[in-house]
Amino acid sequence: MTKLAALLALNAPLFYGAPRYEVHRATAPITIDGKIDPPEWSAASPAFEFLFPWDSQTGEKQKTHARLLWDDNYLYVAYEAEDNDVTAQVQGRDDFVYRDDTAEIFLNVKPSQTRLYYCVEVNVRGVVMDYVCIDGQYYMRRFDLEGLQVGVHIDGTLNMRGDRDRGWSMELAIPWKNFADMAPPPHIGTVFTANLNRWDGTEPHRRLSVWADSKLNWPHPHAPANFGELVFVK
Amino acid sequence: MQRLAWLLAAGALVAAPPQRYEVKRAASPIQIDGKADEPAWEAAGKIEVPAPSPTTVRLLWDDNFLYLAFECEDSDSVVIQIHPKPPQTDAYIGLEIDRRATGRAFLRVGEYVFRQFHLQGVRLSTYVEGHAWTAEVAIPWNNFDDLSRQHGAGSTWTANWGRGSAAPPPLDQFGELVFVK
Repeated sequence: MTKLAALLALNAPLFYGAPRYEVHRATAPITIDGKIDPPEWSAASPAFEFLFPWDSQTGEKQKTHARLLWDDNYLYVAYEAEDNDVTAQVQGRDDFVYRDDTAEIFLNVKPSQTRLYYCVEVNVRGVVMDYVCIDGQYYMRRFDLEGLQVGVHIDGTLNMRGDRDRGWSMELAIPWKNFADMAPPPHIGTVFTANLNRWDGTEPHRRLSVWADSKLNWPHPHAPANFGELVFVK
Repeated sequence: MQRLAWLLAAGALVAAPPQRYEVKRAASPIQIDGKADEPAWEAAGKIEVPAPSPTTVRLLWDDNFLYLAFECEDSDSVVIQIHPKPPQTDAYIGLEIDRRATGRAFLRVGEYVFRQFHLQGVRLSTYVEGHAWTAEVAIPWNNFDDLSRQHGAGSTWTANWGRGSAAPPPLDQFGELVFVK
């Protein structure tokens, strides 16, 4: 019942079951510093809240909200996460950052197929794991985004246990040119599919929350057929 | 000397069994200097690559690297296509190298080719003599890990070779690389 309410709140068309978000064009320059300044993001559709589809997860279900904007050169993503213990250990590019407090976006720029999509995962240290995903199964990490901008702002202390943090926010600017091997940049009316995810904590049964429910039986985000829709508008 | 002709004219392939090449373990160190004159290469059979002018490739392996040695009689580039197994996916990794020892990697999956794909730690050297050139390449195994972590003695991958800009053949026409001790 809560899940249904969440879907309704997102205006998701029930026949499809996946959420839909209108990505507006940015009307002001965005400084990628991790701080979600209202003037930069005022043109965006209201932020959507991530779902917790898996009952097996323990610990506090801390909220995450995300917004997107676009222009001719970039897709912009902003995450705002409540987090009372901000933690991240991974420091090497393309190492498994999803084991930390991490935000992700999976983007399918060719929704007529669901085999291949681009993935960007960034932990709260700003360390990136980017890859092409094949069949939800093979993570081709030798793929490298060019010109990706990452900004993280931590409201609290990183990796300090025993105190109480408030949260973190993240901004990404992803150049469209990175997807040229599959599709040109969007124009008004283009629909790409995507999922946005957040991993919270490093302990067993840590939380995965998602924009679109992957409908998998275990906490796992890779289900390209169940991505939500990003509709590019003015 | 073992000589295999891979990928004859398309018509000749109809009932042909897959070509098969035994990749032997390098018995002694290989210096990547463009000349495959180290003693270890004497154990490696030559594959003839169908091309407008004679081209051959040899392979060896050890714990850290897959080694390739090319001999080319014209100045075109060489395209290496390697399909690690298992998995049962059609993805393969490519590396185009030219006589100036520039290497460009790619990932191919079905009809899509991803060019922002960078292999790490590849050692590559060429030796040019007129139009002809030779190349030695050492590719660290970990570049294939995201497709398959199984390599070395007992594993079988598939591969193919091309010259210049010729379109690659379908995956089911790749030859087999059988890794042996």
